[in-house]
Amino acid sequence: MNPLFRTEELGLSYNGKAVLSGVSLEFSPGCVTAVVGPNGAGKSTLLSILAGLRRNYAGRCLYRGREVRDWARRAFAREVAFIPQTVRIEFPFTVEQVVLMGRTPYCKGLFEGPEDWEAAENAMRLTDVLELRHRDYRSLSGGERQRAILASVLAQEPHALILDEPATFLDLQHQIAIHSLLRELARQGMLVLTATHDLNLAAAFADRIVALRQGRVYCDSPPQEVVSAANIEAVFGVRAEVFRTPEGKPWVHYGRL
Amino acid sequence: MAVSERNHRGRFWPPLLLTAALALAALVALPLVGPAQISYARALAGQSPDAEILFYARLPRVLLALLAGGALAAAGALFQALLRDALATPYTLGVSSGASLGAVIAISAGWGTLAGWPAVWLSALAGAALVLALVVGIASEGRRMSSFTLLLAGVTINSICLAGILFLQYAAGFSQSFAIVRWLLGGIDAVEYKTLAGLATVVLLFAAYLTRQSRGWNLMAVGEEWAAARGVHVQRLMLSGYIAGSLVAGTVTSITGPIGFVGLIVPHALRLRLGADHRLLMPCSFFTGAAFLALCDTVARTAFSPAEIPVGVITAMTGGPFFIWILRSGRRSLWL
Repeated sequence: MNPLFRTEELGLSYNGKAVLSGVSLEFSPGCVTAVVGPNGAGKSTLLSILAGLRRNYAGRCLYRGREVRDWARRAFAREVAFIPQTVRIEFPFTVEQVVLMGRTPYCKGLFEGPEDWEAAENAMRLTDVLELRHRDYRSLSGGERQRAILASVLAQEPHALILDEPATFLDLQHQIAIHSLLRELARQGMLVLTATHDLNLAAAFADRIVALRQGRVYCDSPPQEVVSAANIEAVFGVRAEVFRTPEGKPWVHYGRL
Repeated sequence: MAVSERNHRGRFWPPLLLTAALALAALVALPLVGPAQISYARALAGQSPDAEILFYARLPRVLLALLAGGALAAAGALFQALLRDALATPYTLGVSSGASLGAVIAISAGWGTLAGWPAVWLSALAGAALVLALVVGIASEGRRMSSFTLLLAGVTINSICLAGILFLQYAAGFSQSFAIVRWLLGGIDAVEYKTLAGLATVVLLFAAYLTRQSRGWNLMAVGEEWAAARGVHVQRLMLSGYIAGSLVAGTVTSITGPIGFVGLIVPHALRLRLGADHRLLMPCSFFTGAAFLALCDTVARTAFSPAEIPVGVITAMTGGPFFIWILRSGRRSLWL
């Protein structure tokens, strides 16, 4: 399948210091990719460039063959959705209002139409927040918030979904539920790109792992190849042992702490 | 699905109509309040003194209070969303201290009128515009303006203007110093209808713009990246919102002087009751702010008649306890 995203020598500098450089990657629909790496490796920077939030990048970043910064903002928001690490909301928005905000790139007037409500309700059903729809977002638990935010981006009906550490606040049950949902979305043809610290999680549900180190791509392969003791030591500076699960997926044990 | 959509739109109408009725009731009823008994029948028939009292003393004053209150409350809701700070007011970013500094300069210099307009108004408006330009200039240093740099620049300019006001007041003579204090307390006066017409144009256009952009304020109230990821041109929206809000707050302040509390308390109280959706919050803030300030000004001119209390004192003294009541009414505690 044709890749949706293609970057060539992509880079970004803050005050002359390169936080990302020489990144040349392709991302195709229907594939779940996990971006791993230690803090400061450039994961969030890479994701926010792909999400269209940083337009001052160097090199090329193409979505459907067109430079991301050249896309009309609304049209791009109908294609690519993004979940940041944390969403703090200070004002009393209900879950339903938060989810409906995802319909912004489709709405012309002041009010949502029937198709907007349908998309929002489908999204709330998928992430299991329909019963919470009239609750104040601020009164939700961390996991419920994460699911409400996920519903908001699903209401955007994107072709590519970019998530910056989506499972951080989730309990085990919802972590598994969210990741099976992401897998299912990918099976239906969505491009899913997620940053994570958790190698075991990445190995379990991603088709492909991109490991970043100091702003550069260190390796980019299926989990079985990326997750090795040598790579973990090179990328994270941590000694680890890698086992295999019964299904043959890598399982990382970090040894003595 | 159609049901929830209908319910959703249905939820908009009651508070909207209620607050609009409140503003309308204030417009009709408050001109009747005062030491002299007047009636609409006699005033509309042109009988003296009812007609003079209604059309030249009370009605223009109520109209000014409605416009000023509505503008300040809507601008408050706007700045609270843009700065993601429930304690922001139309004055947080320095517009009113710029206007005040301009007015104080005009009073100190003893300027009378310029081209038929009071020099104090023009000087105050120039001060507000200058602060607006300075804050935007400083905040957009390095091309990327964020609500944080906006807030820092605004608060800094605010302090500088306040220092200038203190200095001028310190240097002023006794009668000028009194005029300065009087201006800084803020107040609604009966102004000419041409002024009201000009102000009404500015304020109503502003209110319409704010309501039209409500979806944008909702997104900005959550976050700048949140809005950008949903297709909003964040820099453009923030800049146009800030400029529009500051121009309106500056124009109002030039005529009335700084009137605190309306811009803070009205949107805040409504948000507690109506939620944060600006499609509802904006127009309701406008109507409620209008009614609230008109009511406060009526109290200011009648409570100790013929003496007047500065309206800013009334807004804070009546609004404060009311606000605390709203804040407490949602929860239970052992005391208060």
